[in-house]
Amino acid sequence: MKILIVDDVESIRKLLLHILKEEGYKRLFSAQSAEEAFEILKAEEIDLILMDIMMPDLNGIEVCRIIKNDLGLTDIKVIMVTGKTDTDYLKEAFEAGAMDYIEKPINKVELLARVNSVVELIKKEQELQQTVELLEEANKELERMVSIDGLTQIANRKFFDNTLKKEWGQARRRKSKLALLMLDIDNFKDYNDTYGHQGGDECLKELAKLFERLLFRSGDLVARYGGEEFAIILPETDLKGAKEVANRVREGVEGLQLEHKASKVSDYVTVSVGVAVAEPKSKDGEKDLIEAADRALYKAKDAGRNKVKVASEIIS
Amino acid sequence: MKGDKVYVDRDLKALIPQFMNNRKEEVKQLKELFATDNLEEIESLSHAIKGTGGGYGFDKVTELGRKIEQAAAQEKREQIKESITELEEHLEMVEIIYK
Repeated sequence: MKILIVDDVESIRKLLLHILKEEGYKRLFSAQSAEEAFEILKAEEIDLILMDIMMPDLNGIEVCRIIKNDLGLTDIKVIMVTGKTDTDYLKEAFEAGAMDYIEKPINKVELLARVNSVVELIKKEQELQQTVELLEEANKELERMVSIDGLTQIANRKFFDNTLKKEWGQARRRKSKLALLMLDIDNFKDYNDTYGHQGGDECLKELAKLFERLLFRSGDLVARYGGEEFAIILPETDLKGAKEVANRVREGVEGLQLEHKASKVSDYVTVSVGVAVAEPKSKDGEKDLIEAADRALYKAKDAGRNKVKVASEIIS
Repeated sequence: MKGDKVYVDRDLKALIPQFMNNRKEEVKQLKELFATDNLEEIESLSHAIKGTGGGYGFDKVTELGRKIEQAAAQEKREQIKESITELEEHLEMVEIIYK
């Protein structure tokens, strides 16, 4: 707790310092003018100021105003120290941001009661601030947890659904295209039977990492859609662009050369990819886009897997 | 003439010599200001004196500070002079009792 005493009269400064020191306050500062006070405020993080109202040059109210407005130190608590006849100024002092006042001549009991209660308030505020920060952090982590797939650390189904809905709306407003890829790992059930579920999990993680590497644009999103199914959202992408990405992904998976003895189409892990493109016009046609990409994915499987197939129609 | 008794918090003992010096210095200043008829400065200086005394237990210093301040505001020169003298004597003669 850092307390600054501002008073042009030395005896008052000494008296206040003495009383506060006796009470156990250790980090005490004193200034005999506004200038000195500003210097100290720049160098130290002061929590509380005891400010004389009547000072030559700048009076305490003006100093308070400068501290709160010009220096932007809105959190600092200011207690005005005032003579009985200065009470006319109190209204102004409170308007300038003072939170309490003490009358001169200083009464030790009164002074300590006021200072201690403000100090308690400051401590409570600081605790509250810390709690708020912890909560905000926890919230962020929660948000991350509910939108991230625990195993692969990429977006989960929920986040995918929200993002697709959002991108659909944006594409509709901008009259732009929106592409969706649905991917399925070929013969993944057999992979699990051969390498165990832990092996299967490793495979999913490897592929997720690869997909993130292969998406070049910041708006693109890869998500784990279901067990061994992934989905990739490509905003502002036409059929040609979507096919390029699809091929890049299919080739990329094959290029990883992850052994898959049980595969019926290759020695390695491969994926089938369905591509669909929309020029969104309806309000929530994103479900149609998913269905179209899904149908294209089944075509790719029917055609022998490890292939890219494109939906015949443009969804709108 | 026996001095007034002032009861001062024992904790403040170390601060008292400096306090007395400062007040005596202020009396000197008051006299100089009075000699040049600078009532405005007398008013602000006595305002400070008024605010200082009581905190240390010197209620009479505060009281006299108030008298001088008021007299200066009302331009009652005779009253100012009397009170300055009274303040000077009080500070010279005062018997400090630490409690």
